[in-house]
Amino acid sequence: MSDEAVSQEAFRTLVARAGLKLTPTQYAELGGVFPKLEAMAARLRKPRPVSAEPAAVFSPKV
Amino acid sequence: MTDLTLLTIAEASTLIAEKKLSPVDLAEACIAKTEALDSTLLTYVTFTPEAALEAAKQAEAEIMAGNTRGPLHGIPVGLKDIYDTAGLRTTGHSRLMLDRVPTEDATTVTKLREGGAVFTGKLGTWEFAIGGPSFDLFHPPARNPWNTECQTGGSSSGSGAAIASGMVLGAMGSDTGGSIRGPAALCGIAGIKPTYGLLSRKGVLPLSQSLDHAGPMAWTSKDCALMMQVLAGHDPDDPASANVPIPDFSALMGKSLKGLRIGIVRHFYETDNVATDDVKAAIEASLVAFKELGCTVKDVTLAPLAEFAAVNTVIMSAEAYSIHEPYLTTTPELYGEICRDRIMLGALIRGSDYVNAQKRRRELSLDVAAAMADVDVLITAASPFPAQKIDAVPKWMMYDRPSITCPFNVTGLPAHAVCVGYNAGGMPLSIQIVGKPFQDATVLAVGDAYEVATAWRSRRPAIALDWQAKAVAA
Repeated sequence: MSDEAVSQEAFRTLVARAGLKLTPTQYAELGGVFPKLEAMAARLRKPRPVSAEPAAVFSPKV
Repeated sequence: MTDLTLLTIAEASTLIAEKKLSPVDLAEACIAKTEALDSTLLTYVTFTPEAALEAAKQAEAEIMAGNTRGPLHGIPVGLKDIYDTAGLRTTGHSRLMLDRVPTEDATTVTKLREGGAVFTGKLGTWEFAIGGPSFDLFHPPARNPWNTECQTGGSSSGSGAAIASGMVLGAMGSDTGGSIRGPAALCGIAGIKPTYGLLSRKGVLPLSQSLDHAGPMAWTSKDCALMMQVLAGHDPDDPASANVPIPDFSALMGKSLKGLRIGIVRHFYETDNVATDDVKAAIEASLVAFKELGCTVKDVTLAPLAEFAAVNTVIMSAEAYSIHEPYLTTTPELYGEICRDRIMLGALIRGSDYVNAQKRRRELSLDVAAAMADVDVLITAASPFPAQKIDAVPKWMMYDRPSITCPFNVTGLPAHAVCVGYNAGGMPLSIQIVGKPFQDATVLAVGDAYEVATAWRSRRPAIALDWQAKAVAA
């Protein structure tokens, strides 16, 4: 499958899992934007040491 | 005729303290201006002139009796309509909360009230601080006083327009990705997103708790500092509130900037989110002014803007959906289209991606701290463009152009928008001045020094100047 097809398959799966009830117009529009959100998320996936801490309790002095 | 609405908070406060200005006269002037202009500028969701006059009368009586409460005593201040106000509806500019009347004030509202501020009402926002500019809400979006065909920026849209036009002298905004600094930039005013944790968020409708910041907006940096003095402080009811000493936010003002080290982050607006030529020229001119004030300037490179934007968008979207899921799944028809769709996308973010974003946030915070090791402040654009037409704001721009303000929500650093000129069309152009954690007084002082050294603060929108003639004619 092409990247676009994979992305749309992921979109369908995630919409179903979230239980979103989208109108056909919304479905088409959000489906068009989703790859951009997915690209942002993908950008943040990278190997990190297991000790890498999230900023769960965020401090600007981290 | 003196136009009281064009006074800064500092000027009005001094006159009030000297008993040369009546808070009632000041409130009446702001009310009259609002009545003359707000059918055009559309800043208020809920305008409360009677309550404002009552508060002004109380302030005047207290001051005449020698019981002064500080620099905001008797000063007209507006509240973005996400700040809870006891007994007065707080809607988030949404039909979902059209009749919601809080029983308590937000902590910051309490502080302003105790400081003697005169509340004039609730100012429009992008719906729940994310959806706008929207034309399908119960109240239309605010218009930019410099050109009413243009947007104000968001989400603190009413706050930006009300200050620029002089309907109020100060206002509260909130900032999750740039919602104070964007409207401040596009409306040509000053606005600070303080260090994360410095101002309480209790009683402010949340968008994304780990990125949300409360903050003041006003005509000048000095005025922002006066508001910060009243607003800052530890709040045990806000789990993110920092328990730190509160400085004198005006203490550094009036002192020389000689030797101040500025890091200019050019790649944010030259390559990552390319600014218009007028914005770039205004920034360069501001750097010349800072050098003349004795500052040194060196280039600083941070991570690409897209890295910060990815972190900000993933965290904000997921947190916003967690807040709105109960309502979006039951009464989506009560939302405007833009807010509904932007938040709904957050349902599609996976848990591991949200945690990855929080891990990356920590890394970026450390990186920025290292990059700032040998500078005192950073400067970059506050908006890559001047205000565009209100009906030409792309719904999904945040996915196409990485936000130039969001890096400092991600890192929590104090970031202050300051007007540095106007383009050929008369629209404001602005910079951000960014400081180290809890160095909010420094960024405000840098902004103040620039404003004092240049003439930009003497220019107001035409609509803010000729309103009295229009009011008389009407």
